[in-house]
Amino acid sequence: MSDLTPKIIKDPSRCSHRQGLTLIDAVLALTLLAVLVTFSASALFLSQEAIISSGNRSTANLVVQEAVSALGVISQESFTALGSGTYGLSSQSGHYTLVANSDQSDIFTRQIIITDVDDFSKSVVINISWPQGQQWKSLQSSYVIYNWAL
Amino acid sequence: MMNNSRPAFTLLEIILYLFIFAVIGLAVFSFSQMAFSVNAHSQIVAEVDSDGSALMQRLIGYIHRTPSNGINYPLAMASSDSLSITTTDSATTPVVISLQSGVVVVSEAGGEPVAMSSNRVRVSDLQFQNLGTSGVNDIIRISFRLANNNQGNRAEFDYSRSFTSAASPLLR
Repeated sequence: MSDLTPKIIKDPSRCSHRQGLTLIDAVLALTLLAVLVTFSASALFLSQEAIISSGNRSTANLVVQEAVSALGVISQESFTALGSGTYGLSSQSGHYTLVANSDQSDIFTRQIIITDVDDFSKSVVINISWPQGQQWKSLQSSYVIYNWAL
Repeated sequence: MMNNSRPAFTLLEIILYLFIFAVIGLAVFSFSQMAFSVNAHSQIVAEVDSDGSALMQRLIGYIHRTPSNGINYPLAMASSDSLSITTTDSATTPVVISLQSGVVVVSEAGGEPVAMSSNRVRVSDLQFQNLGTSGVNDIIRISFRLANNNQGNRAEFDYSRSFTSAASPLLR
């Protein structure tokens, strides 16, 4: 026997009663949007900071290179002028000279640490530090300088 | 007969919908504008930094390839906005490096000046300072400032940086 029940009653899509978005749905959607925007903004600013950091690092390398050249000339003139200690570099007298503690070149603070290894060689560590945002970044370079005159 | 009547949106609902749509649209537009601005500034920063380092390395390279007594000027304890060096090759001597209209140029043996810096950047305050003693231990301190060629005067394209280093003639 065929089903005589009208199909219109069985079809739920014909029912005019539809629910809208609940408060939970709306809050969830807004939270997802906020998380997405926060991640995108963080990624954007982190990439910008990485670019600035890379630029500062390559400029800091030039500051190291200046110190290496200057120490080369100072050691050629007088190897004994490179006494053990912590220094900066100055060019105010018209020559490169070592000054106490450290020196400043633009945003970069340079510190040169010289240690005696033996009679004809000295260990040199050049530290460059600079402020970036709320942090201090640094670069270190070390090498040995020899008294070729001996 | 079935009852298919559904209530339409009220005026209040439509206004609320439009308001939320406008707020979200404005937020998305502002965020994309900020993203483009940050991206443009990052590109400029990277460009100026890499061009500055590259220019400095080329200047240092010229000094390294100079014989120990090959610095013509600046003389010891003097500074100048141009550098003249004698090379081991008479066909290129003297090499003069100077600043012309914001561009660092090099001229070999009195020939036409050739640009060393890119036209995307503008160089200023180029200075060569000889911190050596009487031409024996010459050491040239090089400093310059590099800025982006901000022709549109847009704030996000405004960036400059100072570069300083030093080099000695290495040929003996």
